Amino acid sequence: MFERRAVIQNPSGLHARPASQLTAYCKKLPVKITLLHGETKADPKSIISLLAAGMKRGTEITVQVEGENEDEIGEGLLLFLAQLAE
Amino acid sequence: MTKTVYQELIVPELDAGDAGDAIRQFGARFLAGGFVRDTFVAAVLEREEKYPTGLQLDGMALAMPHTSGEHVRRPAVGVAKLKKPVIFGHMGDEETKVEAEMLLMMAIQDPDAQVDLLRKVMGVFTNQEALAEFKAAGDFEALYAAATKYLG
Repeated sequence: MFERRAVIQNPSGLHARPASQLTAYCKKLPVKITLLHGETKADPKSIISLLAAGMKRGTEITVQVEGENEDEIGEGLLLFLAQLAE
Repeated sequence: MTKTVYQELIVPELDAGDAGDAIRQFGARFLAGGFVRDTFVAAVLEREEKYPTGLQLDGMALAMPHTSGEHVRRPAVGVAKLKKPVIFGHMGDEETKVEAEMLLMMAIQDPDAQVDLLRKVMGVFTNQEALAEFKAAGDFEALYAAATKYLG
């Protein structure tokens, strides 16, 4: 499993627009992805799961990726998260 | 918590031809009530085109049109039940459309408040008891009561 810590950097957090972009990105990846924050587990392939997690700017999360090419996909996902804009 | 549910933004039966019509009609209430600037409706329409807000939940489809805080004067959330379902694009899935039965239009200034509201909305509308109350609300009083109880 690929596992890394990350911080939500988007100034407005994962509100509807960046959450939509993240979901659209993750749905194309042929792996299982989980975003962890404390007791909360979010499946970023589900916009409902992602919005229900309520991740604001500064939220520290753990990104888990499981599947083929998980390391490469995981690094790409971290980059995508870091570049999410308003 | 800041009050966000107002009587003038509760519509038990909105008769709209399409998503744009629904947004224009509902947005006009926000403008008339002083909740938003006159740029709000156009901004919501533009945003909905690029980043649709439809959601297919278990038991209901809804849409959550909104835009950035610069178009907002006072925070508010409106709830409108559609007389007949209106097609919206699905959030985060450009290939899927939903037949929305309800609109939650949001006028939120603070980005953190928007994240919190979206989390609350997800919690409410994935709760079968709450969903049933909204679905059963057949008049203004019932819809306002449900909105105040779960979103206020």
